Amino acid sequence: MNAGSSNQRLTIALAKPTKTLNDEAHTFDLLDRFIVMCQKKTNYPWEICDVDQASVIIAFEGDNRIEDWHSSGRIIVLVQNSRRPGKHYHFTITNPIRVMHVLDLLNTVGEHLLANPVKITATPTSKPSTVQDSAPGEHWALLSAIKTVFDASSPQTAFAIEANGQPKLWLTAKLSQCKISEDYFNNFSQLMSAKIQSKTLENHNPPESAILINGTELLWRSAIDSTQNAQDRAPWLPGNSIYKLKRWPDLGALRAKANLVRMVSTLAKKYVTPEELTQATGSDNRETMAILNALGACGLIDAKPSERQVSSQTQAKPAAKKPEGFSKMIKSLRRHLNI
Amino acid sequence: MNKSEYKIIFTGPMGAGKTTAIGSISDIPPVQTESFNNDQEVHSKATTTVALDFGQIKMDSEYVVNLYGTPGQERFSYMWDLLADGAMGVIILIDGSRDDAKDQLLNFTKHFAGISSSSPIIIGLGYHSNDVVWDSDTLSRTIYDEGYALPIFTVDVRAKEDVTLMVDTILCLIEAAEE
Repeated sequence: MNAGSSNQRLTIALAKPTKTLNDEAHTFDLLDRFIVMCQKKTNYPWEICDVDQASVIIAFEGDNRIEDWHSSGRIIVLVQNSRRPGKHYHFTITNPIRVMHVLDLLNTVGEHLLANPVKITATPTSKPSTVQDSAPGEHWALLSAIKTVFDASSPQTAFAIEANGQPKLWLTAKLSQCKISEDYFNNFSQLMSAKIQSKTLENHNPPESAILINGTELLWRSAIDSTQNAQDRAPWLPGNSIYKLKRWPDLGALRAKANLVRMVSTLAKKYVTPEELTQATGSDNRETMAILNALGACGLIDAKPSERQVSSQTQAKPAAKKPEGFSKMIKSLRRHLNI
Repeated sequence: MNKSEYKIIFTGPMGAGKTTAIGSISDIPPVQTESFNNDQEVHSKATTTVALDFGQIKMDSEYVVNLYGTPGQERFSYMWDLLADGAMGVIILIDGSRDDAKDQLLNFTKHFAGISSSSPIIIGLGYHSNDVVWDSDTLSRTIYDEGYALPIFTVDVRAKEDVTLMVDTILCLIEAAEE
């Protein structure tokens, strides 16, 4: 099909969900990256733009702005969590989202849009104030790029992450094979401040001098290094929540220190607020946030809205009375093993 | 004065490194019940544990932690149940360079989770050759899909710090459960 046969501009926008639930934030990041990746590979000249200018809006089900957008003439692509017919909307995309789904979607919607040009009759309401607040900060750019590759489904797809226009990290999906440029290996923090772009590669061909780096460690280390302070929550980690471990990180590969083991063990047993986690493990607030960010980056943590408030002035509650001998034995064993 | 005794179990298939792991942290030379290995199809090592391995962490005059290694072969599984009864934790060791590591992991996890749901179970994943057939992430997802959210750590059981990481995780999980 000749994409130039109509005056219809092919403009598309991904609408950030108004409520940032854990899974939606993650799907949003993934979709955002897939759209950028597929943009140049479709049969049609798609332009990515703001919601206000878009003919096609990809929106999460439950978003209360969808009706407004739809009634203004825009095509809606509904992101849904289970495969079922869309209520009003012709186009849907269902979790778990794969890059090939996005490619197919852009081709199908492009064909439809050229055959049925849309007239936008009203400007939708402006973006909710939460969009700007929760947009990834510059210092999260590297981790966002690595996380997108980690989440990609096809192990054959290779990516390069560029810093200032030069490839510096070479990755495959699930981070099964990672290499880093020699000059950045010992100065990883350089990457944090560089201008980051990721792109797919036809051939996975890092230079011979590139150094093999463990994928999990790369993701983990990026999250820890990116966390600047106790309030610096990663964009994909829901705020005002309590957290519990879903799956364990490989603490052996991460060469975990005692405090990390304590934190992860506490999270494995129950939902806790960051403040409770800090209190239970005797860590500092920045360290707690860094670990939560790292677990979130690896998809190992579950969050649900917090109903309890923990005052910063609250003293740690006295621990439940433990069997005296057992606690003493644990202390003694730790001392003996130099843990 | 009578000492309070506790125990940690090291289990896993033949050749996974149970005897070595106990030796890494034991304060006494491990007591071994090795016999000629007539299961060469399962593993090519010359001898294997037929009853149990035994080591001890002797902390002070009050406490001692006994370290038991189970025999690897499934035909000795009656020993697994006897040894695991009352243990403060179980460490399952798996060789990730073997093709059947996933099946072995599932067998041991199901068996020991069935003995005691309250004792922490830690999985140590080692590689006895350079082939990484199974990585920790894949195995972690596998047991998670079976309903077990257990820690799987890549370890070298010859290194004391790797074995103490697993022991410390048992201690942390016990403490977290008590809070």
